[in-house]
Amino acid sequence: MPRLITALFSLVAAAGWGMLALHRGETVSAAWLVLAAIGTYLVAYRLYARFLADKVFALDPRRATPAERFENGRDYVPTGRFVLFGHHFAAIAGAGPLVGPVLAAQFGWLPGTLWIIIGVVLAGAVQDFTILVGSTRRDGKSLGQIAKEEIGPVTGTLAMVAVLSIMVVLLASLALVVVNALRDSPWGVFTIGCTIPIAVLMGLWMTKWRPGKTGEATLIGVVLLIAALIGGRYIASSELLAPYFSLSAMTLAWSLIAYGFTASVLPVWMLLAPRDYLSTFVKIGTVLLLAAGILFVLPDLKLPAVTRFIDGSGPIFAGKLFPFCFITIACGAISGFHALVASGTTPKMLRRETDAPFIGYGGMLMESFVAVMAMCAAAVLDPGVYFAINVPMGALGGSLEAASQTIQGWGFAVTPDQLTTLAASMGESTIVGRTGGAPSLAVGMAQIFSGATGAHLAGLWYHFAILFEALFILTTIDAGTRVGRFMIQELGGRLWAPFARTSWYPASIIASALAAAGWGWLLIQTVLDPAGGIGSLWPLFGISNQLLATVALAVGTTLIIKSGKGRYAWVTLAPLVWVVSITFTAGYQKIFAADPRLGMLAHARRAAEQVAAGTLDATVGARQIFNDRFNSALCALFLTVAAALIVSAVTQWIQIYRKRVPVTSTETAFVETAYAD
Amino acid sequence: MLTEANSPQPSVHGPLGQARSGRLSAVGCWLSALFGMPNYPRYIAHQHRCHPGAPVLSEKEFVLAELERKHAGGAGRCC
Repeated sequence: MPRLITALFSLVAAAGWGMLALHRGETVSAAWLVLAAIGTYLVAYRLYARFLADKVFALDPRRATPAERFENGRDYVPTGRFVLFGHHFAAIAGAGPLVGPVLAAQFGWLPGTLWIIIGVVLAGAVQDFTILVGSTRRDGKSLGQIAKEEIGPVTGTLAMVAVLSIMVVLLASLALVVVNALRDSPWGVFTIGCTIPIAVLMGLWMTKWRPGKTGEATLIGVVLLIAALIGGRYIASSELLAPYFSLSAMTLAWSLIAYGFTASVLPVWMLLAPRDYLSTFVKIGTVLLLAAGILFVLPDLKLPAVTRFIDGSGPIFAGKLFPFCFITIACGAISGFHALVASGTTPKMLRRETDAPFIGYGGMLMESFVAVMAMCAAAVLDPGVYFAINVPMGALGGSLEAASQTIQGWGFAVTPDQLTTLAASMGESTIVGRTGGAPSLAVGMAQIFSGATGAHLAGLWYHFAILFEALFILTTIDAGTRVGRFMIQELGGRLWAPFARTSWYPASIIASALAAAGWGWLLIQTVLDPAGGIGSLWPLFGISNQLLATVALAVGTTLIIKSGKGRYAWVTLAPLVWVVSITFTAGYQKIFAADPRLGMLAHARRAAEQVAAGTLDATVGARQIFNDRFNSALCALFLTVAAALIVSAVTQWIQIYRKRVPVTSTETAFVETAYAD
Repeated sequence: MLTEANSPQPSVHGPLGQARSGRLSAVGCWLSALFGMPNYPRYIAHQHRCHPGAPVLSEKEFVLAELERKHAGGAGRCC
């Protein structure tokens, strides 16, 4: 019977892939893409995840988990597998898997989709699953602690500095997505702005007025959020109020920085915790809604399967298909950040070891599915519209007419009228040059949803999509700034002990300001730089996130070797080799490529020449040169730290292989579970 | 801080107000666990079972402490 089910899933996958393969050169329904993805996930889950669980990790239902042994009614809580799946998914999923595929669609929908589906099965889900099992067998220790104990303490502080700088790039990239989506958009600004007083109200409700009623507070918050979404339309159409909510990119950037700082200093109940509940609710709801929308409407993919931009001439971001397709997809196929969650809250809640494949491997399959849906939402747009939204205005020629000319030059038809009408139907003044991924995803989603509900609701759906993306991102920004603050306090505490006291206001204010200034500075520089934009920041984020994945995979390989299963080490070693080759190639090209569109140092040299020739303003040029050099240094730092960690891990594997070091398991000793089932 | 004498009993409502028994309560429990909301009844039950006689936090103290703990360190939310 199980074999029959697996065979059935294989047929589903084969049907999906087969239809995609046969429809070359004509439009194909998104249904086949969804079918290919789901079929592949199910087969991989039944065969590969089972193999990992039985052969590689030898999961044992009789072995008590940390949740059982340390149960404290707080963080160590044995949790049912379906609840924990949702909890884990909400923690790993955010804006990354939504934005990455939309940008990578510049290569066409096929390359990105292949990497999202194959990458998750062989790399991303394996990483999350391995780290979850590794942490569960070590009392729920974090990736940092495991790395320190398994690979060596030398890299401990270095790794922390690296994670901190990766966080800075992540927060700046995500903040830029929000700035681009909300710039000159009164509807969006009003709706997102409302989430702050809503969160404060929820916080007061759940802690002061009706302590403990977090659920009630969340329900109230959701109702108010929907009211704010609908109310935004009236703000945008009011001549009196609209100008107050129509903000420039610079104002928005400064507001975000102020918000991140404030959320980091204030007690969490006031802003951070309530927004987190709101965001979780919207996150799970939206993913279900998007899946339902795509399956109900079954739109056609209008983007070509592969575009000519695979040669590296793409207008959205520079770089060839290899390695930049893999870098840009970021979280949908493999994400280093997940290793932090898989070694954070989740292992402390796992009820039985044998739930780990469902949570660790299955949770990541779900994230990959979100990325596939984001790819569908980008690919249902007319190619001309897709490029009009995602290419910076500067590169399009500055006006609607010039934009449509430029895009026609690339071989995609689009008229100025078409763009104006589309913007009006979305309730916006313009959609051209709204880079960052979020707006084009929102337009795609609005088209899918209004296919089910009627075109008159397109504007509402567009702003709903913007709302949830901005909500995810602001949740990452406030939580991230706060995590950055704690890291800075911990590092500072090594120099002067009192600085590490988290309840001491001067220290927390200074550390929060430093954390917010870190990503804020990068954000402001990118907003100021006419050549900057998501195309320059997002690849840097992709590289840093995947470098964290190489560290997680190296740690995972060490754990497998030390558990005496060295013959199976290829399960993490193969993805490690692949991810190392894409990240180091991409990092090298971003720094040293001779093409100034791609290589940051070459870009700096060109700016210097232009300033010398008098064709570029000296202030603008100096800023570009500084940004390029700074970003190059940052990129070099990431590569160096990752290389150091990987080299020390490999050295250890070789010593174990040559029997110079005995294989000693570092897992916690077996304790039999008290659970009956 | 409350003492054992005036501490609440485990059978109080959960975070979604699931005082009633039955299906609605089960859904409430499920959702609040999914969201990772502070669960006071569970904490009280744990204290009664494992640390009888020890002082327990009031519901308000517990909620504040839980929210603070949940967002204190590590990576609570991802990209």
